[in-house]
Amino acid sequence: MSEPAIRVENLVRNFDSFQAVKNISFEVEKGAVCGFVGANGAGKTSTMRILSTLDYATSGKVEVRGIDVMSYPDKVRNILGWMPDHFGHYSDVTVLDYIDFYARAYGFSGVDRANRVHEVMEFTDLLSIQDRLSNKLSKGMTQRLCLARTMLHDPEVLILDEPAAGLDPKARVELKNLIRILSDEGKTILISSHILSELGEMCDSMLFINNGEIVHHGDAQSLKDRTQKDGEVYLVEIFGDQAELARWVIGSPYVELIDETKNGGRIKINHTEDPEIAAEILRSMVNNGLKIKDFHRQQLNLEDAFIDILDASNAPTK
Amino acid sequence: MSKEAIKSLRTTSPVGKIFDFPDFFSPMFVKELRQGLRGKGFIAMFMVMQALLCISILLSLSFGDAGSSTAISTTIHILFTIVVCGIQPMRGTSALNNEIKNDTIDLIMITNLSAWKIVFGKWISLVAQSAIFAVSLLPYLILRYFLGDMLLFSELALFAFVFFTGSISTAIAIGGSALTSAILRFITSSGLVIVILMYTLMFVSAGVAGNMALTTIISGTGSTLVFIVLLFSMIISMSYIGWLALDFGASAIAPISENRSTTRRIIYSVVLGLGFLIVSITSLMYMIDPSWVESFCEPEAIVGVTIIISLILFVPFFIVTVVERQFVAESAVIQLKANKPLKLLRKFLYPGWASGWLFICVCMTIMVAMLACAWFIIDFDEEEFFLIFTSVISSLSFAALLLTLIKRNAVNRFAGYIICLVSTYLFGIFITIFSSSVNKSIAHLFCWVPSVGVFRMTDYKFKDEELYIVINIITLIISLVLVYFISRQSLKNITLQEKKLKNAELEKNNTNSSTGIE
Repeated sequence: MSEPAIRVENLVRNFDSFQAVKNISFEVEKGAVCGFVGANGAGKTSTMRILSTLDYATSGKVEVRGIDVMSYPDKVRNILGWMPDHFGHYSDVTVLDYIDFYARAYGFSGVDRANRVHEVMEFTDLLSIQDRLSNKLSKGMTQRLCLARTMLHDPEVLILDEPAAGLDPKARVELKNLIRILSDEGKTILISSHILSELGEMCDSMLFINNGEIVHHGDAQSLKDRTQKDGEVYLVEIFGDQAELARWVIGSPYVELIDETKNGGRIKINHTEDPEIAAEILRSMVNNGLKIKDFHRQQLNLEDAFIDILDASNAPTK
Repeated sequence: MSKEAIKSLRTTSPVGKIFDFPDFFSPMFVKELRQGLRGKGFIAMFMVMQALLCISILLSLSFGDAGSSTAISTTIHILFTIVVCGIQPMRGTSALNNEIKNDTIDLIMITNLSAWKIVFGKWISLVAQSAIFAVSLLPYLILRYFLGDMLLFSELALFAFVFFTGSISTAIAIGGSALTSAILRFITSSGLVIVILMYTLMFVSAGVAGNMALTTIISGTGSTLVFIVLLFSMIISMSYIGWLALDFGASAIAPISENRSTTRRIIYSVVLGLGFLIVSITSLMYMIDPSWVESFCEPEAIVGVTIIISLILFVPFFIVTVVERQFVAESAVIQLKANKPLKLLRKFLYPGWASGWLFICVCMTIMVAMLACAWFIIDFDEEEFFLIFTSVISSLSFAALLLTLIKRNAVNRFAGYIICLVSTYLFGIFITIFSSSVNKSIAHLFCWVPSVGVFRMTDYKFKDEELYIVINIITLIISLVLVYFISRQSLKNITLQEKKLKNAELEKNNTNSSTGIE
């Protein structure tokens, strides 16, 4: 079995009395794309900053390609690219000067520097705006500039913190394509995002973190399976007042309302031993006077699964 | 081949503009210079300076009296001093803080640039901009030369002196810019810049400092040899302070695992060793032939000045060492154990305040030995001097003790230490005022606070210098011992870390030998 690209063992990060990361452990295989998901303040950025050698762990061990990030940050930096969720801009620095500065900082010189600067700017489509000031760019252009900087030294491992945050749909698609290309090149990517459907398409595995603890690690399907074990989701549309559906759910065992839609809502039918439970439920609705327009089974999406997992992990333990 | 390729890329490649600065320039320097030269601040300052110089020259030439050429010189010097010693250091006071505040420092830190290269690049860029200002003055200086009555060497020397002082002040401002608190940044940077200006004036300007000028104190007759020695001492000591300030900035932004402490302590050892050498050689020569030493200068003055310089250099070093975070990375242990000469002294050289304290104890012993040399051999018995000396080192240690007792594991040790130190001095001032106006015995009650004695010296009736010297030494010893005892746990942790690494190494060797891997 090959060595994992990222290995985190019993990582703890405390900020005074607040514990941001609570003894988490996980591994990301070489060449894999791993989604890192969690609500704001869940501990994602703290973990990613430690991985990127920018912060230190209170305890635990973090390795990138087998190198301890705490003891040998210089070695790790040569093989790691970090794209933060937000970063400041320099005034009076053009796009080309910005990329050139980082190319010099990564040790490129002479013709190699020019070639590498040209390559990454071409890849991220920045050549046409090379003379624009870097603090006068749109959000999408800024993210492309940051990705270009991250890729300059051709790192094996990429840590991308919310790269799609604040992007318009077009820029988001462009960014997704760029990440897909990088993934095809065999880069290991740890990417955090709030847009789970996109992560689901891109990632080989998903890492869910809540209150500083890992609550799930596996691929998108395993996450859906995990939550779908408890029940199945159905979309129900009715004629008339949608509140009737909510009222009916309150009095019905095995059924819970996930969310309301324009003409009804999505319900979850908890698993029972009865294989015909869905038919029974539909009959009960009709018998209770609900005028059913549509009733069909729906695949659980990642957002639902995420919320389910969060609810489960936040529920008080008995 | 490469040069030709670059030449062709310069014109053909869409990114050909990046060859405006050669590769051997530091990346940070290139970035800062490009940014700085494009900045509104630099352009405005440059234009204003040129305009003022043009107006001043036109006015002087139109009046055409005897003093006009001197007026041009004065204008040039004043403008240059304001820009290089005032505005340029001021621009540096936000250099690192802006990077921290704007979240740009992280992106630089994860490149191959070390914290030192980042800080040094920022400094050298500002110095280069000062040099551009200096070069832009050349046409005016040439014009001034042809107007006559110019003391060429003196004026050029003054230019060099202002440029050097400005560069050191800029270094201090950049080092201090790593502090997150704006008030602390302003107080530390401006305070140190004022000290530097006074320090340099004390050295070179007998006209300004009168009898306080060290050149006057030492040479009396103005010996060239003594002046040269003093000039070198000044250049070395100021360069050291500038370097220490930049190093402080670099340590503040460096990752916790980057060991900057060992180099800092080794360099300080060399500087202190040099001071110790001067005092001991002077004392030795004085023991052999007092008249020979006295033939070119007063031995008391040499010893006194050396000890003052040592003390001025010791204070910032002490503070920087005491405020170090206590963290020893595995790489630091391996690095120190791999180097044979350093291996023996590693307990004093590990990063962190705990081993730093051991190092400080050794430095203080050396400084006290210097004083003892001066006292016993050269008969240097200035009680006020000894009181100030013991009060300074005792106050520093006492504040360190307070910090260790109150907030040993504070993240921002610098702010904590400065508060303790300032409180110690404020308390001393308060006790002095209270004792002189209300109750005299209160000063005796708090004589163990090291700053009390030094402020009581301002009272012309004060006669207890010897008593306060002894009390300061006792406070110093108690502080040193107590902080050492508190630091023992951290020192034990380092020993445990060493053992763990040794065991891991042994285990690795055993595994290799059992599997036949060489």
